[in-house]
Formats: sequence, structure tokens, C-alpha cells
Amino acid sequence: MSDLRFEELRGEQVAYAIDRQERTFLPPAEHCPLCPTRPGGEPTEIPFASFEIAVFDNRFPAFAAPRGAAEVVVYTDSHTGSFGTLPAERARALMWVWRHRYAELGAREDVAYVFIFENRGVEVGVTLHHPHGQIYAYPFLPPVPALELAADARLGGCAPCALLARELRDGERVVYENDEVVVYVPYAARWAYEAHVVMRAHRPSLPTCEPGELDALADALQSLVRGYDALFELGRPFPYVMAVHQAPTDGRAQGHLHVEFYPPLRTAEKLKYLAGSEQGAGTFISDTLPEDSAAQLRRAIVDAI
Amino acid sequence: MTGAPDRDRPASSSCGAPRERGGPVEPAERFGPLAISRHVKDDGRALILFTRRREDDEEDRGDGEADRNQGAAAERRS
Repeated sequence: MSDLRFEELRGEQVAYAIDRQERTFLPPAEHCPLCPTRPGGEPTEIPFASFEIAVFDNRFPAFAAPRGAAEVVVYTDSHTGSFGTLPAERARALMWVWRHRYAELGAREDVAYVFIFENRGVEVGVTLHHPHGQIYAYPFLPPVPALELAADARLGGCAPCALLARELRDGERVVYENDEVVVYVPYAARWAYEAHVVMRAHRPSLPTCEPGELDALADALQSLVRGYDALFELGRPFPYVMAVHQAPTDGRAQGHLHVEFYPPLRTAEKLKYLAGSEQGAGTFISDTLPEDSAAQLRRAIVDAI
Repeated sequence: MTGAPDRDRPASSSCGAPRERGGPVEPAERFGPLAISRHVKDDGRALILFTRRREDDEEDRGDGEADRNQGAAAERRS
């Protein structure tokens, strides 16, 4: 059960989902709820002996009908690995799964914004290591997508289109590109190795992409994640938050499909903490220049590919 | 709220409709290169399994994609 309260000083919603305190926390592999249910074995969330990609309602939802939804997207029935280690065909299939869920959840009257994301690594609070992502279908437009729409208004057109053009002109922060997708460390990156994965063409959402664009998006995402894993050679998953930004589904405005990555590491050993300036004043203080990070990340991607 | 474009709305969506428990509710759906089977878990939560269709199942895929592409092109023009 969840509740929404409006925080007047910041002008934003806060969701209370107190049942989530009881959710499964870093279980051993033999008790993983996202693994398939093996014959004679412990029942899991997925009562089948094998599967490719599974989506189910979150047992501990932050949002649920009639005020939104929360789903879990399991990338594979293999307990180990990550989005980056999936076969290319599986990663491409995942783009279609995202597209399906965006379309179906976005069609609901109680959903204003469909947010696909992945938390990877204990540093960003992951509670299950099995390769998976999540979808929150918000009953309101959250602040970050609202800010992006405000940027459209400020720049007098599609902001991601304008920013992509600038990054391609500069070139210094571009770390990967294919025919349909460009990946760059943004000019004003907040996180040391923040990266934005942007469709070259103006596509508001996954359903407006051509099939070849979906394939190219999967390839770009996997290249970036593999580059992250090669960057510090941590011997464990490189942590990040992956956020898929698309058009709101309330019909009020457009958007531009892009995927943002927020890795919390600023070196192999040091985390970036959101402290006084970031939390209290809303201003990020960064120890690294985006151009330097981009050079490192570009090399890591080449090495990983 | 208007929701996502109709042209890409999953054809057999059971969203909001009552569903039986204990197995697939409807015949397998198709969505692009995927086959979809819907289930309801014992506690009533939805579970959807997505499987990449075998090549010999994809004979009709071209028509579906053509429809989607036409819709996408129309949306970009608008």
C-alpha cells in the first residue's frame, strides 16, 4: 500500500510505500526470487522452469492501480551476468519488451509517465543481483521529465535534439556512436562518468522507433555498459542507475527518447555522495571534467568491444 | 489522459480486464519479434513471459511492422 503526499516547499510528490521495508534483501543465489522455479525446487516469482524475459507486478510496489504501477523486468533466467553480458539478440528483444510495456501501461487512464530504469550495484541500493530492471508507471508527471519539458520550452524546441547537435559539433565528449544512436558524457555532467544515450532522429518514445533503431539502441546501451565494466576492472558490477526518458503518456507534451546513466563512482575506490550542496542547495559539485571522463570512457568502450 | 499511440497498443491487451488464475488467459499474443504469454500468479499479480519468436513463426511479421512503421511515420509528420 502506498500513499502520496505533496511536499509544498519543493513542489514535488513524495511516495510512501512502507511495505517495501519488508522486501527481500540480497538473498543468497539459491533463494533468488527472480530465478526460474526449478522442478522440485523452491517456488520463485516465476513459476516456470525456464524463460527468456519475464515481467511481473512488483510484490512491494511503490505504485499500484488505480494510481500507477510498478513492474519488475527480468532479463534472463540466468542468475549471473548483467545487461552488458546478454547476447545481442536478447538485448534487442528487451527493447521490444520495454516498448510493449510503455505502450500498455501508458494507455492506462491512471498513468501519466512510464519510467523504465535499472539500479545496478549495491552502491545504488540494489537488493537483488539477478539481472533485472524495473518500471514505474507514475500517476503524475515526475519532476525530472517535467524539467526536460521545461528545457524544451527554454530552448525553443526539442532540447535533446539541440544538445545532441552541440555534442556532435564539439565531438570531445562523444564516446560511442552508430548509425542511429550517439552516446556522450554531457557538457554539464553531474556525475563523473554520467553518459546520455540519445537517438539521432527525433523519436519521442520507443513505439515511434523503427525496428532498426531499436536494435541500434540495444547495441549502444550494451557497448556503454561493457565500457563501464572495463573502466575500472572492479571485479564486480560497475554500479549505475540507468534511466529511460520518453514522452509522457498523458498526451500533454512531446519528448525525445534517450537513456541517462548515473554511475556513483568517481574513481575505482571513491563514491560520489550527494551531500550538503547537492541535497541542500541542489547544486552538484564535481571533481572531474566531462572531457577527461569521456576520454577514459571512450577508450574503455573500445577495449570492451 | 490519452495514453500511448493506439497503433502500437498491444493488440490483445487485457489491461483492466478480469483474468483467471493458474495459466495463460489468452492465446499467445505477438508483438514485433516477440511472442507473449500472460499469466496470473497465485496471489493475483500479473506475470508476462516474452519469448523471441522462431524464424518459422515470423512469416507474418512484415505486415505488423509495416503497420507500425506507417503509424510512426504519420506521427513524425504530425
